[in-house]
Amino acid sequence: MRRVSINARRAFDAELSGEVEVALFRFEHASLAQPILLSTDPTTRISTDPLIYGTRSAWMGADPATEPYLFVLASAEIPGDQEDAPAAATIVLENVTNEIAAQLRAIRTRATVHMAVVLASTPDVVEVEFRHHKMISAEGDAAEVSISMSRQPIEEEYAPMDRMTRDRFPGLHR
Amino acid sequence: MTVPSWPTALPRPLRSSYRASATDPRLKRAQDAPVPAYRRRYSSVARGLQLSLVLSRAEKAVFDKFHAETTGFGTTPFWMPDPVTDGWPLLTPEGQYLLTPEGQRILLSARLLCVFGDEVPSETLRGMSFTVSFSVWVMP
Repeated sequence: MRRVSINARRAFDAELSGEVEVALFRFEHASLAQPILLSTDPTTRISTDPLIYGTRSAWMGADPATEPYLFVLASAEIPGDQEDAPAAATIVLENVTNEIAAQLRAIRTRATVHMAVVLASTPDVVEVEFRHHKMISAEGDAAEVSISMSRQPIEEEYAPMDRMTRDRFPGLHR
Repeated sequence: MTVPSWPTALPRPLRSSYRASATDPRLKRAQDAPVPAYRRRYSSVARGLQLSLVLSRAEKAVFDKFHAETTGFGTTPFWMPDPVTDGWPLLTPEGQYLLTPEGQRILLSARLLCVFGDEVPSETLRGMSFTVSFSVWVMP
């Protein structure tokens, strides 16, 4: 069973609520020296020069003082629970610079994505958590980039696993 | 790179055309429900200010240079004295001025981190002075 804090449950049920739900993202990849931490809410001003907003959370061992989750103008869809489809999440980024496309084209192997939902007032209490998703696809146009995360597709497994070689299946190669 | 500051050579903005407005950080739940219900969308939002300045020709050059070169036509943030706080005298609850031992009025001081707003500055000419109107966003 998923554990949701009493504050979050009250906020869901309340008619009027001042609580803000924040989606936190953590992208990990072998070629990254540090994981990329993103947040969908400008909770606090991280620095003035340059002007950066973000959320300070201790989720997944991040140090709130030095590793804030940086605010990006993105809309996020957290993984659903459909029966016949793998749980998939989407994050839609505003395509503000061409470097986003260049970065996405440079990726060769799949990055690991962890995501969590917290309340902005209690950024350390994790309400929902989805770990170890793979970055499956990144599609975009001039305006926005849509990055989808899901599990590793099982369709890519070889079936049958063994190859029909002479060593394994000598009967075939008589 | 440091955050530039508002030029001190410029006068205070006009009181008559001062206008502050909030931006809405909420999401309305059901658009057609008879009872509105809101929830928060973002936890911190910018605030909009509309200001006007009456400038001489020399001060207009200062303003234009600040807008075009220092802030790159309004693309970089800058520090600006709060027009409704900075330089206003500190008062007691009864409305008396708070004074230093030397008899000077104690003035409030506040500064805001701003970027130029969606409308680019516009100016009109009256007599020998320019009236420059512009809007700024006060960053949270």
